[in-house]
Amino acid sequence: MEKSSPKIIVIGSGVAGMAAALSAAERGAFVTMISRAEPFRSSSSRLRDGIAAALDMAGECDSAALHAADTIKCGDFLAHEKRVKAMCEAAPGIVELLARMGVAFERTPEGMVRLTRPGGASRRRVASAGRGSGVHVLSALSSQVLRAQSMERAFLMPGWEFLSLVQGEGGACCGVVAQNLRNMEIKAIAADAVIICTGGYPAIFARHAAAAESDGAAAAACYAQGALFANPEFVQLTPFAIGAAGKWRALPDAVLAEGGRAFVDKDGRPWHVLEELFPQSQGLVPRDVAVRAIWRSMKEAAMAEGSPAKAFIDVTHLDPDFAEDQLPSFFDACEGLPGLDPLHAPVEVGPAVFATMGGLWTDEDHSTNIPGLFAAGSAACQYHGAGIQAGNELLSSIYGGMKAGSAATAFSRGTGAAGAAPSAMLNAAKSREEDVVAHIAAQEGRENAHAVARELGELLFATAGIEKDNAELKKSLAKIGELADRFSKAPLLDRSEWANAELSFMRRMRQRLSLAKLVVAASIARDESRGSHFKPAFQNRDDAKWLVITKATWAEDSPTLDHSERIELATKPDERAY
Amino acid sequence: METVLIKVKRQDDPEDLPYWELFEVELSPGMTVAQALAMVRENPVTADGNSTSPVAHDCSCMEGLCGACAMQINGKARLACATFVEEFDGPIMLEPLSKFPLTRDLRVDRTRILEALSAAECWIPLDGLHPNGNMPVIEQHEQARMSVFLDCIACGLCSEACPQVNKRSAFAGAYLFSRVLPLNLHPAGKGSRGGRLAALAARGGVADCANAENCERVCPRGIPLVAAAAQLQWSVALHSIRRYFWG
Repeated sequence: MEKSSPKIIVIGSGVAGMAAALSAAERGAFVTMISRAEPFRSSSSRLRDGIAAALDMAGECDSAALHAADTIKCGDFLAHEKRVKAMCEAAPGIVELLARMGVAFERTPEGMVRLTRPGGASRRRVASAGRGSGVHVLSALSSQVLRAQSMERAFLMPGWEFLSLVQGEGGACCGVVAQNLRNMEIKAIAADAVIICTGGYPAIFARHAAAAESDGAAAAACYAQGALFANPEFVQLTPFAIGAAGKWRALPDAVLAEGGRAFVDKDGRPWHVLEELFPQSQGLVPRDVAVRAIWRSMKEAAMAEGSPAKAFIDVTHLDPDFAEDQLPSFFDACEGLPGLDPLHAPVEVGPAVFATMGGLWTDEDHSTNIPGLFAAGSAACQYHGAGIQAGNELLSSIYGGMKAGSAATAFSRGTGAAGAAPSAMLNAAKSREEDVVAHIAAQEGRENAHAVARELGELLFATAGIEKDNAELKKSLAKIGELADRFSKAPLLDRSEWANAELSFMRRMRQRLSLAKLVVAASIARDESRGSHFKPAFQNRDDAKWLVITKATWAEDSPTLDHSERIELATKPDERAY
Repeated sequence: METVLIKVKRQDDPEDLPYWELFEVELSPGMTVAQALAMVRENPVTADGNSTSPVAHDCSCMEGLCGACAMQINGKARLACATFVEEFDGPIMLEPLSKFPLTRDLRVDRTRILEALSAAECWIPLDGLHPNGNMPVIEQHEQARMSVFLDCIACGLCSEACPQVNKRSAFAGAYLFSRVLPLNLHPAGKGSRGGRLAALAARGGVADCANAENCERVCPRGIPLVAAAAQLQWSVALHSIRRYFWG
């Protein structure tokens, strides 16, 4: 391969992966996109909130600076200001880009993009598309990726699963090992640079509102090979998830912005907790603030009544035509669920894990500490700090993906690139993964890996979810060890050498256990409350000590945590009041 | 314990012979077929108590947005995560989609959807990813019209239900209409309509649709596919006439 056309592998075909692929291809790279499924099926599809950008179309004097300030405050000041500002400045151009690709954003009667206010923001700023912004954006980006493929700039490899990195001299990344999920062939592929865009790890928790594959396995595999993992303790919950059909569905913030009301049922009467506690923001606060407020009120109401309290989202007071017009994504989430009629009865909601802020540590250009390895989207830790503002998920994934794509291309053209891996190195990497398969196949015992996964999820949700307590977390760490032990006694249920999904599940389960340990260990270390990370024993934010990023290095028994990277902010962090 | 019976058509690999297996799963309120399959996956034992291999099936978002779990449920093309078991009386019969190459059990290979979209040039030829200040004004009713088609999740149920999608025809399925039409209506896509219409005028295009209208009945997103087909048939006809007279 000539240097002028570097070979870049993108792992994952969600919003971030496609943005990375397009940007690398545009800069002359030859891109191979490895993903478990076709581009439409990624977890990005469930993002019902739209995309945030200071388009300033609502007469509110919005600006990129305000967008950045809101984002940083929502993340409780745990993101580097310069990077957030750069993202917010690029945001209007990205919305424009999506519109040019064919996304039909909701419009005002004048034909301009209609904006809604996300929780914790000072302005109307989120542009959404139809019944599901995620689906629409995936459709637009995948159309461009297919176009890049037709121009022979990109090559799609759906149906392959990333297993690990091929590392050369000094650990530099020079390829990947992947497995074909049909014929189970394991292949080591050389590349000049690799971009990980495999999403976050909400699915390791019980009560998650993500796709089953959003378990962070790929990022965890890189972490086990020496990539630093940043801020694993920050996990985003939403208070507004519908639990039905074996799944939690996160409702968009727009439902409150457009007049819907959240309440806790107390003695049979609606108690509008958020509006009462946060009158200035009309109850429209960041998700983590809302989760805690509702959670506490439910506990209080339950105490008074002696039975568990329930929380609801109510749109019954809205004009039905107006509601259906303004809230297509909310109605889409409720559609088809038996017994749910949002226009006539409030919808019961509960807390669920929506996303994760932690991910592979990256520098400003989305490069990890491993030369040649880049990360973007929810697989990376970059823009959200301790909490995600609605609309910033899609934005950060596209912006970060494009940045990673161009940085990876530039890196590949530079002198730092490791170059094509020799075949001996590829073979060694491949046989290492074959050993993993053999190891899993040799597991014996009477345990069930799926049951272990479920117990692990429940444990994590209970101890590393809404509220954290050091004593409970320490117990949880010990239990994870027990679960790992039980997992090692779980046999592989499927012995087939063709399309064996169980093998993939078992391999990912190993990564889940390592991530779970990491989340809990990092949670124990951070003795403060910041954004989504809340410890009742340490109620306050401690900027003197904890305005730092957690950087974890993998180690056999427990991760090594480093808290030396301080957050760069232009001004002293404010109080996070809403 | 209330239970539900699930009869799965299984096939170990594309060359092997199919066989049926019956599973009995504990019923829970509001249970979907996808949930029942997850229980079978965790405990792969047939109703007669014999151990077997877990049933291979795809399932990802569990909320009807990724399209992974498309299959035939009691002979109808549906999404397993959006089909509730309480709807049925007797055993629920699960079969893989028949219009896509089988991988194993209920898993099929739908990469041909990508091929069909590429063949129809289903994209807007952008100048590049750079911002160029072009934010098209779109009237509300136009946006709403485009939006219903952009809800397509490319699950392939429309192809499954369509009598015209078969081994003797090149027709891919109605999802193609749902993907092409909004691009043709879009201010940024109008200029590149010609290429897409030419592709739809060729073999496997709009002329191969025989208006059976099954697609619209099975579409999990409720997309008006019949109207899309009619509109595109009209556009293709006009486009061909124009090309005939004016080149």
